[in-house]
Amino acid sequence: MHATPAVHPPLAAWVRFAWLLPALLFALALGNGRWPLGVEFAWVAALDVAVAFHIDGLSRLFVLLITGIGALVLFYAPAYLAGDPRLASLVRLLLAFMAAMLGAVCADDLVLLFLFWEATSVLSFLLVGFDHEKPASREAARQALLVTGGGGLVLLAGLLLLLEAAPGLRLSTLSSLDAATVGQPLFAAGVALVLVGAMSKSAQFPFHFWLPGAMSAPTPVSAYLHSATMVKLGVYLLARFDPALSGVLSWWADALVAIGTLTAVWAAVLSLRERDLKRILAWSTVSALGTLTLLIGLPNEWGALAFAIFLLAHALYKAPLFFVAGNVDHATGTRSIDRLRGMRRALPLTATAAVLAGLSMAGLPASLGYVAKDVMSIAKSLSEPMWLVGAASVVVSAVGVAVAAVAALRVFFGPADGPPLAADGQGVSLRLDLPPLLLALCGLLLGLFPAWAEPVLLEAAGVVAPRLAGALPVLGLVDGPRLGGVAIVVALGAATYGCWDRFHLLLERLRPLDAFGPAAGYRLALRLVKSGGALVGRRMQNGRTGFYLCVSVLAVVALAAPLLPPPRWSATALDGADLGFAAAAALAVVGAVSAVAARDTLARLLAAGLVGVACAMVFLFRGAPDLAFTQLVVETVFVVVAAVALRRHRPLSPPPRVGALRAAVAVAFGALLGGLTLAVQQAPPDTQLSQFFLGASLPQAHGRNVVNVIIVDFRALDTLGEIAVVLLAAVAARPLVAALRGADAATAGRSVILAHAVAFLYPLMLFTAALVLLRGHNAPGGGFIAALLAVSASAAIALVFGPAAARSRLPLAPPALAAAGLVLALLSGLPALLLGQAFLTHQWGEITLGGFSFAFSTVLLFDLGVLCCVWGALAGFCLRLLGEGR
Amino acid sequence: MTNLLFALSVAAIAAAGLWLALRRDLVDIVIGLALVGTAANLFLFGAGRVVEARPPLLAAGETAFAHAVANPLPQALVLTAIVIGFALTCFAVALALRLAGGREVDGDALSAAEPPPARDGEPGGLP
Amino acid sequence: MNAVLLLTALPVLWPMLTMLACIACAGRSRWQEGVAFAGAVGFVAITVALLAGLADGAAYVAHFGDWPAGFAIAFRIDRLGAAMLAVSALVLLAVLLYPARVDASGPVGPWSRPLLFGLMTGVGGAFSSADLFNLYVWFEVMLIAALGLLVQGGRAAHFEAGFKYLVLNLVGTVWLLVAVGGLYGVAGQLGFGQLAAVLPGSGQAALVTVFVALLLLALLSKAAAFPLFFWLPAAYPALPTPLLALFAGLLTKVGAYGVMRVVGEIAVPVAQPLLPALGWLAVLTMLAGVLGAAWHWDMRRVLAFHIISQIGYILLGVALGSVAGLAAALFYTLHHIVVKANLFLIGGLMRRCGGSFDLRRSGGLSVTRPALALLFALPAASLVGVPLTSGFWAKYLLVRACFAQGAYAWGGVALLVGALTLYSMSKVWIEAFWRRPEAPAAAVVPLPWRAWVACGALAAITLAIGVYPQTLIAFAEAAVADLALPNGGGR
Repeated sequence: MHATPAVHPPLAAWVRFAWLLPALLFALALGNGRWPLGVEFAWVAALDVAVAFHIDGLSRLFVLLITGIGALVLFYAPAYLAGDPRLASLVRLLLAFMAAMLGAVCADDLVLLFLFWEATSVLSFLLVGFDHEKPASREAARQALLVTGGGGLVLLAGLLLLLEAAPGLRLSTLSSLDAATVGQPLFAAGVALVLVGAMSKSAQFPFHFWLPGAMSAPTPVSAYLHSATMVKLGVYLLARFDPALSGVLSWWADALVAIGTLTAVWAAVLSLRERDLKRILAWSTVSALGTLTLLIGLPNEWGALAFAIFLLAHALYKAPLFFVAGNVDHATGTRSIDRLRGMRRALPLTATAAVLAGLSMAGLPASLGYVAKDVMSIAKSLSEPMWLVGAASVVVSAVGVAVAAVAALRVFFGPADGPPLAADGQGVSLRLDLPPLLLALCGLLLGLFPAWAEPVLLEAAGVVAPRLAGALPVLGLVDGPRLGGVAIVVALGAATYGCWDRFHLLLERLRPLDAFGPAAGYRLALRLVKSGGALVGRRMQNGRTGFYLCVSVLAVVALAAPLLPPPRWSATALDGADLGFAAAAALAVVGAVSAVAARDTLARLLAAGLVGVACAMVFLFRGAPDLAFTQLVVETVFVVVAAVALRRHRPLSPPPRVGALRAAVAVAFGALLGGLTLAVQQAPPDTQLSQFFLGASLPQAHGRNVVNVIIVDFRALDTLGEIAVVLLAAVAARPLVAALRGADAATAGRSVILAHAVAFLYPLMLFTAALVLLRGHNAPGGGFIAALLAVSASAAIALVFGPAAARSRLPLAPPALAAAGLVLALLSGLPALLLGQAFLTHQWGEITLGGFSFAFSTVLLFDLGVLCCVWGALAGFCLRLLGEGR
Repeated sequence: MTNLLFALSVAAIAAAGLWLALRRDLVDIVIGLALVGTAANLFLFGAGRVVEARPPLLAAGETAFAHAVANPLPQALVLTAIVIGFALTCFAVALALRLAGGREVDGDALSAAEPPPARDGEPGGLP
Repeated sequence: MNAVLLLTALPVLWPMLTMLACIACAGRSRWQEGVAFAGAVGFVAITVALLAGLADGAAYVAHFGDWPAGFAIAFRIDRLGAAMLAVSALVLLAVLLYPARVDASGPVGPWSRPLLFGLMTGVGGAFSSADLFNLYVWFEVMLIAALGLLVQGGRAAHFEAGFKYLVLNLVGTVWLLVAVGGLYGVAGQLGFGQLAAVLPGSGQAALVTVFVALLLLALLSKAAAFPLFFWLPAAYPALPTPLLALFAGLLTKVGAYGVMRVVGEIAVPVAQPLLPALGWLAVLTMLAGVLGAAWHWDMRRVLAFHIISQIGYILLGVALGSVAGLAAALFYTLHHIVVKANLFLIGGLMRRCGGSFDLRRSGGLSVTRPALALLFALPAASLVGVPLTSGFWAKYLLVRACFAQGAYAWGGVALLVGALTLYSMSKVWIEAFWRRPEAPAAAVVPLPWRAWVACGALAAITLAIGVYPQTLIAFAEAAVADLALPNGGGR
């Protein structure tokens, strides 16, 4: 039956006796305890969520169903999957599922309820997809998961709204809510969402389609989840909410009746279309679930009673029928009612069980099904005349009779030309026959002696309809006139059975209408997800760098620009500017325009360099000599190095054009930045920080160049981070540029004079760098500028003698030099930590050495670190780039 | 006039930078981004206001500033930003050149890390 | 020796020293591995010490250079920052424990570990700093280290990934610099606390709003929010698995953390009018991310898009602008870092067992690798938000906060995206674990124990938070309450 692992692990004995556990629980629940029973443990106090259980009559009925049928399913499973290595995992999953179900029907806390609710969804996914090598199983499992899991999220939304409207709400306190709370729109919205969640779980229209699909699960799973327990969880929740809502929320009862009726009729009709025995049973289960919903919605207490009885009766006939279908499948390998005939000879016990269960399903007298139908008809007759509901129930009952006949008669009786038994010799053992027989017999016995079940059922119904507690109606065989009604239904059912194949053909012709059904809606939703995904994954994430950049910038500009205050034309805006500044700014504009207009890469690079020079001039004319110098050196080194490196670059041909949108985005970007600049210029400045720095620089930080003092002292941590960036950039780029080849003959063909000049210049430049470093604290200069000088010295050497030569003249290999620089900078900050001060608090002292006293400071160490780090890293970079260009 | 000119130059540099960055040539993109960075630095410098002032340097013998000086803090910040920007630009140049490897490479057609969708519209497979 | 001042500086100093030590033994791989691991263990210890000292709600404060507050760069590590540091250190440890070559996704060269600790330096600084320009510097440290790690693989895909990452992140950095400069220009301050005091009363309300918006947008681009996320799916899938896990866990979350700081501390009243826009961006981020994830077949790309989607959740919490919303965002962030890193690590194991990252070419792992299936199921369920995992409480807190503030549409979308995440994860499960592979399964390769330990420990955290969330929820709420009172006191 299953092919994968060839090795069969020894079957653990516990698997065969796992059924004892639920059986024990069943006995406990059957015993006369004190109901209701409540337990509570603190759990998530912050969210007011507790592990709170409340077991009343309704819960108890469900507990009995879950454990009773659970025990039989676990008894059945080892025989059904005999020899299958996955049996143990099936049993484990079933046990886990049972625990989740028990938790769900006993939970009092709403969040706890949701927890178990979702657990059943996830476990049912695993159970439905148990035969996951079959594509149909996988698809069915996913469908069940998405519908019930998605419904679960709706339920969560509903529960959250309820908790919002009625803080501290528990299931057990639902019925004591005052009308004002229930009347809030928020509460009503919560209830509506809970209703949707419950409908998805209990396969109510329009969420019903997942249930027949889920029939690809193994039979024990279908019998357990899809007839007796999980699908009834939604109905359970509706029954829980009903007493608090009926009569207060006007639409509640009507909605239940309408949904229930529609589901019941729809599923009953569609069951006629199926040829697969299990799927027929599944549709009739959906129909029964609709009936249960309808019964909850009926406004009188007889409805509640009918709900309880029908719940039990349905479990007692539908589960055995699923077992029967499983047995037939097990024995013959098919479930098609076209091929199955006369199976009673091969499977006599199974046939017996089928007939007994069929009696109850058809609602024939002396069965629990009959009692259920009886009370149902009383409930309906007491309600306001709802002829549509009445007519619907006749149709549903008639089809129910026909389905019962198909399962019990068509398959087992008639000529013995059914399919041969499966060749593997796995007949149907007693272990497979016992569970359905037992359940079907229970259905009959309770039909004959309803009083046995009365306490449990009344207790359950009393929860749904509190007024029922007083009046105890007596169940039993009822008088003649209603027997007449039964006869009519049975006759109609027999007619339906007789015309089953004709109905089938008729409905098959209507199959194109499925394109408009709810299942098509599900498929449409999946398609929408897929096309939405393609929109994001293919249209947006399309791999084009320019598109990404354009959209990113456009988004920021579009979101930020509307917030920009309109420009103010103050008098200061037109203050005269000095000529130098004006020239610098104009040069910057010229450089920018020519960068755009330039025709080749080198020209663009030079234009960019021009912009840099213009910036340096701006800095110079506005009191920032350090900046001006830094910018100038950076720009020079960059242009020279890039120009050399670019010799190998081949620009795109033909030159790419920038589209209108992109150009517009660029202009908008510039406009926004320009607008921001103007706006900031016009705002009154707050110079508190600078005043402090200007004032404290000399007396407290011992430096006359305030910019440098800020860099190495006031904001030394920024600088530390910055040289870390520089070091990391050098490390990061290692895979990008080829390692330097050995000594290259770059000197060949160069001017001897130039070579000599550069060789002489190098130590001079380094010396200058040292000077700039030393005096940087008091005059323009400092570690950065010194480093940039040193870098340009190295670059000059590299340009003339080749990168390898330049590299050999560095005090350390570039990465080591850079790392050493960072180490120095770190070291300069550590003494402070030892002295109990904050990191990077600089120390000042004097060392007297042979009559001379040297002022000493960790500041210098820090700046030296900056020098080494920037020199090492950037020189390494430039040398490699220059080497690349060769 | 100062303010306007200054804002104009920031705007021009930024626009030209982004314009270049939106071209498809890898090196153009890097140059463009460097320009955008320059514009940002200029803006940051401007945050200390571009007024005529002397450098924030105390001459030998002075103990306090007697005259108006330029705001030193943005200068220090810009200095940091310039060096960081330079390191990143160097890296970017190296990356662009390595990526191009002497070939014509279109920045809008880099598909090794993001393969185009397969013929049936499904996502392409990554290496 | 002042232990507090030392401890406050260590989130930056320690990884920086480890980085230097790793550079020092760049030629000796085993040594370097040992140094790196010791560095990670030390980092965890530091963050634990930080967290232990913050139990009473104070903050670690250091003013570097011992200059007065407001003039010095300050580190101020409160519970929010300490929690982010701790979870980062934890992920770092797991990533270093995880063997570098578990799948064929790329080598780890001699320079990867220095760069990794460079990255952690930036992360540590960003989570500790209380100075806006300093924050910019740490973002740059992270950027260059991340770029370095991206290109270390040395193949065309790595360079292209690095290039796109560089281009888009440089622009994000420019916005950050402009916003920082602008705020300084308008308010004259750079420290978080000083800005918080000055911004509300600034005479330039409109201009302040623009720059706060730009600051948020810059951080959103670092956080990969819609429509600024392109760099993430373009670059991440090229990374080798352990690095991918670290990137996925940490990088975008630094941006999200920044958004939390801005909204919750620096610009509380100024940001309020911007929050609805932030919320809708968050909604679009959630949707775009999850749709992209649902569409893709490559495990790395699926998970990369899920990062975006989850960032949307975090931003949604921030956009609520309330203590409950921010607490939900913080809880979400902490949980998500662990889960996302773990999923990528497990993805590497799936690649090793199933032969491909592409779900279309994988399959059958639930039969051949039941333990791996279980290991995957836990973080996957947490990503979806299945109860009893950390993700459930994260989503619960978030949706509850949305509903409590009447943001029903946002809460509803959050739940819808949960359903779509369920779709996506069930697709991964069905394809990789259930479907029978087309090619017959190769011999079952053993998985290294270190991978089991790393993934198992992260999964255990997910489960522990899921089973008993009270501690973390209370912590998140307390940490966010600190924000509302920025003068909670130093020590």
